[in-house]
Amino acid sequence: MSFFEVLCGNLVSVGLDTIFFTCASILLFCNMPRKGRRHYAVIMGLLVLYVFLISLIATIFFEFGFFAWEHNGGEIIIEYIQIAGIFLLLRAAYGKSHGTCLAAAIFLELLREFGWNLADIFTPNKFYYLEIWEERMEYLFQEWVLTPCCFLLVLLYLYKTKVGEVFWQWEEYKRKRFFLFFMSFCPVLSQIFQEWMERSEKDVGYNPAAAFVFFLVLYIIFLFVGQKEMQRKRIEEQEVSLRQQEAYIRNLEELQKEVRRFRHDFKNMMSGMYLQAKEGDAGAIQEYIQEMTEDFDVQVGSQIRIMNQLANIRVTEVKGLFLEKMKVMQEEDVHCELEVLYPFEKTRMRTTDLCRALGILLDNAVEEVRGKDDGKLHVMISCRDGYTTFRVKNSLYSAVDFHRLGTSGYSTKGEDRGIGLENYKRILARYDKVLPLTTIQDGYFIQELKIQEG
Amino acid sequence: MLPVYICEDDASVLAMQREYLEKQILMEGYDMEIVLCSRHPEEIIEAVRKNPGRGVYFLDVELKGESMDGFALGQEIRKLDSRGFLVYVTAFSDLAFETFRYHLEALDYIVKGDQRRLWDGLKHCLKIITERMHKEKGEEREYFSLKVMDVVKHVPMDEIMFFETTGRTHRLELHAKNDRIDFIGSMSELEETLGDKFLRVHRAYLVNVGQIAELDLKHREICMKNGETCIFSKNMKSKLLSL
Repeated sequence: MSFFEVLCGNLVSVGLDTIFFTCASILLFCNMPRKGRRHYAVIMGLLVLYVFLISLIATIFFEFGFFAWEHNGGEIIIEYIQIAGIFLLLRAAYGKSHGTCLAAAIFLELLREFGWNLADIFTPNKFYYLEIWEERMEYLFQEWVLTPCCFLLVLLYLYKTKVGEVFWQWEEYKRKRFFLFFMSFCPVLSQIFQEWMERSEKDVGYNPAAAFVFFLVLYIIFLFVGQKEMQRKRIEEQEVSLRQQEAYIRNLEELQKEVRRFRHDFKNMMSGMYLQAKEGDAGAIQEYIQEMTEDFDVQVGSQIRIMNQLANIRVTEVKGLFLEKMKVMQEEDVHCELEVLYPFEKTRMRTTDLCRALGILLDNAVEEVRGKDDGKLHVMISCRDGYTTFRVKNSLYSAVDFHRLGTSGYSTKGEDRGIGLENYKRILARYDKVLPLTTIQDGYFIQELKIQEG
Repeated sequence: MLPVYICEDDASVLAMQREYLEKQILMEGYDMEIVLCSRHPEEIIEAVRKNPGRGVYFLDVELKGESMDGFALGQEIRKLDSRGFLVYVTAFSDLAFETFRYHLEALDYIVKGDQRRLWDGLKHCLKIITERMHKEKGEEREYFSLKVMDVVKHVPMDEIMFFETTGRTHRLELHAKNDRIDFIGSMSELEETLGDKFLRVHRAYLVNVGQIAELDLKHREICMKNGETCIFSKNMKSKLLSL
């Protein structure tokens, strides 16, 4: 077979592989790469380049007989080259962190191998003599028809198991580095494992089941880690929501107590007023009424006002967050005002992310005004014309080095702080239509979070 | 002469407001004139449309039986008069004023339950408006207006340090003395609209030339007056040095 023929054959195979990689990575990352026509053009160009380069390298390997090396050395090297290539492609397309892209690249390569081995099961005859026409046809049939079908099966499986959700959780898993290290040895390990199995069976033939088993084990570990992380989060969320509901109930009870107290005062006042009316002292009555409305405002009014505003927050998790934070503020004697003019019903941002982001803003604000007599904290939630705005405004006492805000380790509160705003930025970076704004105005520090809902 | 508009659904309150405002304007010699008192928001909008320009608006928040509330009326007025003074008059003391101020740049709000508070509020507003008009006359500050989703932000030109591209496409970040704003836009368009005062020193940075404090040639860094730094590309060195 001529060099050119092999190259052409490889181009088709690698092309098929690449289509598989693309689909799988979209499933894995849950979305298409960043938008913009130019960006797409760049990605397409890179994909073509990738296909061409890998085919070329594979052809050279084939021609020089590298694939015949002992322990499958040539193939393993090709696998690593592919991993590197996919890693770079993912970096260019998604711009995620190095670790994430590397993990995804290795995972995709493993998936490919898995698909391949799946195809091998159907055609146990492993060695083809490509010089013989029928054998070559059989090989090509396996390579171009059977393998893509297996790839489709794998994709279907990924889709069904909602791999993206798991992967996202995995991204946040803390001991990622160790796992990544282990994963990067997979191609070698898989070979060792395979050879070990073959030896134990005293069978010289190829055993695809070995790789199959190996992959399954890995996949199960991967799923397990993801699921565990997910479960942990779910439990955490439930605990939070439970705490928030408790806070809500306590709030209502307190309100009721205050109403009862006010009712008692009210009766006394009424009897006082009755006497005055009897004497015909209109001025005193007016004063009485004034006093009573003011009392009502102070005693029950402020509570009701906050409850009124809270009632307009229809997203339970966010309502709960505010209840909890308000309770903390009450305990710490921080006066907070809340404004929700129009009902806040839903948002495109994941509520867990939104709550985390808002929690960071609120905590920072509370920290700044805590213990200050004239400290003011004002929160506004506004939903108008397809946009949602969250605005947290607090009196500013410490000088803010504005340009270092949100960088790692910087905080006006000393060392080992400032992680909050960095996290805040990281959470928002996931979203296209969510914008953060920061302003210092008239002695207030103002943080805004704007979401485009449409 | 600033035209004054009043929209209030209660006829007696409307008459009272008018009488008091007229008296105040006359007594203090303010350069204002009440041109329309109406119970219907449409009439106000129509009048503003016919006679465009800066005005003063006293608006009731709750307009019973009308097609729109005070907030919507304010939005309509803002479309026609972006620099006018909006003052809200409401019966509720727990009005979400920050929301009004945020979306409509409302000047103030007055609670009308108690007559004395209403009078004081009106008087105070007229005074503030006059003061602000005076202050603006002396000020020739240039502002950069920036649309961030549904609101427009105004940042003084001389407070802007630089614009930076972010990890996401079409997403830029404005670095100013007192602001940090993420917005959707394109660097080249910005470069065009801002003109000579700004220099594209790097693919990722558009710098306000007037705010440069010093150059670090070794690390190819620009230090701004507020201490922020950004990098510049090699071929911009001579241009920067010639500034």
